Amino acid sequence: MMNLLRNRLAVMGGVILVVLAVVAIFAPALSPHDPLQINLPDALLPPSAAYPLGTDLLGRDVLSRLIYGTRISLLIGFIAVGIAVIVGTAVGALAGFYGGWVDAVLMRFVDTLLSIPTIFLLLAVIAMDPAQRLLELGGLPLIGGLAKGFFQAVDPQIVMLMAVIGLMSWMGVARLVRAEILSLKEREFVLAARVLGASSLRVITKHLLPNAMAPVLVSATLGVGGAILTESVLSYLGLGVQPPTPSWGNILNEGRVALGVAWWLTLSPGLCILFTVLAFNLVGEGIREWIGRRSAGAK
Amino acid sequence: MIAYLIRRLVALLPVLLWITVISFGIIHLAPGKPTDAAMQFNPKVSLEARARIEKLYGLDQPLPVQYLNWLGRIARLDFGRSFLDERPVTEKIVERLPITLTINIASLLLVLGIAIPIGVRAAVRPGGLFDRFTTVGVFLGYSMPSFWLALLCLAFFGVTLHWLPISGIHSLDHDSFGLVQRWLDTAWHLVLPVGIAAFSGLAGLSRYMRSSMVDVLQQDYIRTARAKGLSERRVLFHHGLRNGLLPVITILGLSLPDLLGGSVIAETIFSIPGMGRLFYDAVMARDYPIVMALVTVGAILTMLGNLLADLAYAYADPRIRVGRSR
Amino acid sequence: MPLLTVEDLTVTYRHHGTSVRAVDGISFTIGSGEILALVGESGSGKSSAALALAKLLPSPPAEVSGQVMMERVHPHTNIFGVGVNLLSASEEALRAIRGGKIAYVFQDPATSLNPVLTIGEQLREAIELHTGARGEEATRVVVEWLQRVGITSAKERLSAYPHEFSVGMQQRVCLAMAMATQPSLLIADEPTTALDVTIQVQILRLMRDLQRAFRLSVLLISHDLTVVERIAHRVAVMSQGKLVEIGPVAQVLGHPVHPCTKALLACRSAVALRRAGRADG
Repeated sequence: MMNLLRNRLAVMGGVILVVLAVVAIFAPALSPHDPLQINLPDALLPPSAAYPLGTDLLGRDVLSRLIYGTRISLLIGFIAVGIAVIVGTAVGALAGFYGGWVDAVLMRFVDTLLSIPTIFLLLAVIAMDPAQRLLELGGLPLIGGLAKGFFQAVDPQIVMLMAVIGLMSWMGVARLVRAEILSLKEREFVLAARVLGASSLRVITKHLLPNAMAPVLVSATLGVGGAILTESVLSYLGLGVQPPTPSWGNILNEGRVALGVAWWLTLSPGLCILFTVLAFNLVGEGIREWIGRRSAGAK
Repeated sequence: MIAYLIRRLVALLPVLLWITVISFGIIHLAPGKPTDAAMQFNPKVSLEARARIEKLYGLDQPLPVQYLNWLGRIARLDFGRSFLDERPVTEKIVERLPITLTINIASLLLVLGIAIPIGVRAAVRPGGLFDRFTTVGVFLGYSMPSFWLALLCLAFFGVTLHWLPISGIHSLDHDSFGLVQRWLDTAWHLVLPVGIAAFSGLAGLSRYMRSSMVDVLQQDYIRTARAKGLSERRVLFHHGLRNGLLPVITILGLSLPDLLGGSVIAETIFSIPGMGRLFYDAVMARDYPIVMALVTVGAILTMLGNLLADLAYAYADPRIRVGRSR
Repeated sequence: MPLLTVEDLTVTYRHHGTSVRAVDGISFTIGSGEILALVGESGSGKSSAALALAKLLPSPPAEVSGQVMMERVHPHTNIFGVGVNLLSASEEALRAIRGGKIAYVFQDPATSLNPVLTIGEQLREAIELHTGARGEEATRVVVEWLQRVGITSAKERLSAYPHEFSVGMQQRVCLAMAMATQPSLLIADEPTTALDVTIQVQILRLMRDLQRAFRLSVLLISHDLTVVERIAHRVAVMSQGKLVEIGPVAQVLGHPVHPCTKALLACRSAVALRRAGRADG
């Protein structure tokens, strides 16, 4: 009975994700107004026909800002998790495959990072203004190219957010991959490959990793939800996406001032975050169940 | 047990070292000298003060030397002085520590008090109505941004209903209260922050409790207990829960970093003068000594918490507490 | 008059729409002071039958029907009382019978004992529940029984945890726990399968001695006929949920009728031959 419920929930999550993707891609067509258009005479208007979700402190249309905010959240979420998966897989694979002192040192480092409260670490790093550093390092051209598709000018702040959030989340992936590699290492097909003379790198990439990826997929899906939550917290605290670029988190920040009067500024962005993260969680759990049932059946 | 304790302490040393390296390293992420940014945000920092700070931190010396100097100083619990008001960082942290610890411990107790019964009840009848209901609740809890919930509660309970206070830990006339009233006043102010801090941990723990109990209830010794004719209540609590709580102790230890992190949000929104708020203010003002100190202290507190959880587990599980065959 | 009369016992497991009949209408009796062995290959339904007798199978998946009549036997005078159908008894009545009149010993002693409670506690629990003994007296009974099953320095061992004992010792503790309330029927589900061969013999001998001393009825589940030969009086053979042959041990094992019995015997002979072979050489 639980399986039926879970199934339906996962499908619901999937539907929400599709809707989100459509909204993000077709943002210009779906927004009734320009999200950056300031219109002071129309400030703090409740929801109406002209402005379906009301306006904010500067008279900008909340609905349009929310729609464009979808782009930001999804973009940051996916790329941050992408970074986390790449770094985490590399570290975990190395630790699991080579074992010994490599494993010991790497895992101690992972443990350390995990002991520092995430928010502390995040805020501390962001306070150091790493966007500047990034620009200095010239790492921008690669990732900047992707971001360019969505915005007129490259926003180093967003790139920095993706990098920082991603680099705070790879530890879990590393542990997962390491555990999987450890258990797969001694299996016959690996031993066979090594006997046939495959190099270590080949063994890792062609044999071990593909099998270890299943739980990573689950973790990544759930991780996108987590990254979106993190970005919204940072934006709310004023350290994430900076206005005027709309992000659900910074709309909430702006709404805090008008908390008693303009409820629409607080309710709608929060609901957006809630349903988006919920969707990723439901789909992630759905994948986990599906994998579980597949391997149980295979036995 | 003693041997276990010693082994755990020794294992913590490399982690401790890494923490200091990371804390130190973060500061030097900033472009330019650490004092430059502080200058930008605080015109109050005079030129002489800046020169003094640079000399104090040995900013003109090579990095490894700076690190060792810093290490030596924090070993003596000297975290330097705040850029903002020149007060010793240690002092500022110590005066805020009790509040944050109170909130964290209170919310932890609240989480345990709610999550454990929920988990047990859901495990007794997996797939039943209660279980399904709480599963949906857990998903919502995982997905909800806690700061948003805080804002909503603030708006609803604080502003609209005027039931609960919206900021600070003392009312304006707090000092005129008697001892008991002062306690109650503080407690009343802490209801929302503790509630919000607890909310985030609730979902995870009740889920974990549920799966732990489902596992336990399938074990052979539960069947033996029933075969002895014990009441279902005794089987569940005396035999089941005693085993089911063990993995939860470990999980508690692992969720400590998130608990501390949650303080930042709760304290900021409700204007509670705790460590989290101190950290946020320091970050916004680029008050680096405090930032560094709190990252280090935060990590050490987490490690201590983990150690405590480990010890508690070792004590609770007879298989570890008492050795192998006598 | 037999102690236990089982009539048309059926156990069906329902899971997600499919149903499996683990036990298909079996009937047998167990006399007072008799050891009945229930044998069959894995999956024949013997464990399900054993657990069903005291309604120990979890009810949502399992459905049990039939009749299990148990006569009340006074421990000392052997006077028979009015019988009760266990399958239709109330939970309360069943709980008095479980552990009190019918006691179980299971296959894996390591997992059958609660790892976080001392063995003293676990034994005392059963005694205080089913007999009048309390406090000091209960402790005395516990020590007595631990000694009876062969645990040395029983008094000091009361505060020991299960993991501190060897597997053989753990099974002795389980036996003590089952016997301490002086039940009329002991159901032993593969009690020696998890043990070393040498320990197996010891435990079987212990069971036989206890059975004789206390005029205990025993339902012994096993897939190993050597075990059956050693201590059972009668044997019942199960296959795919049905009871295919039943009778005195010598008769059934000496002159098997059903092909399943013959198959089991063949198994045993092969093992015995292999053992003999090893001994020689």
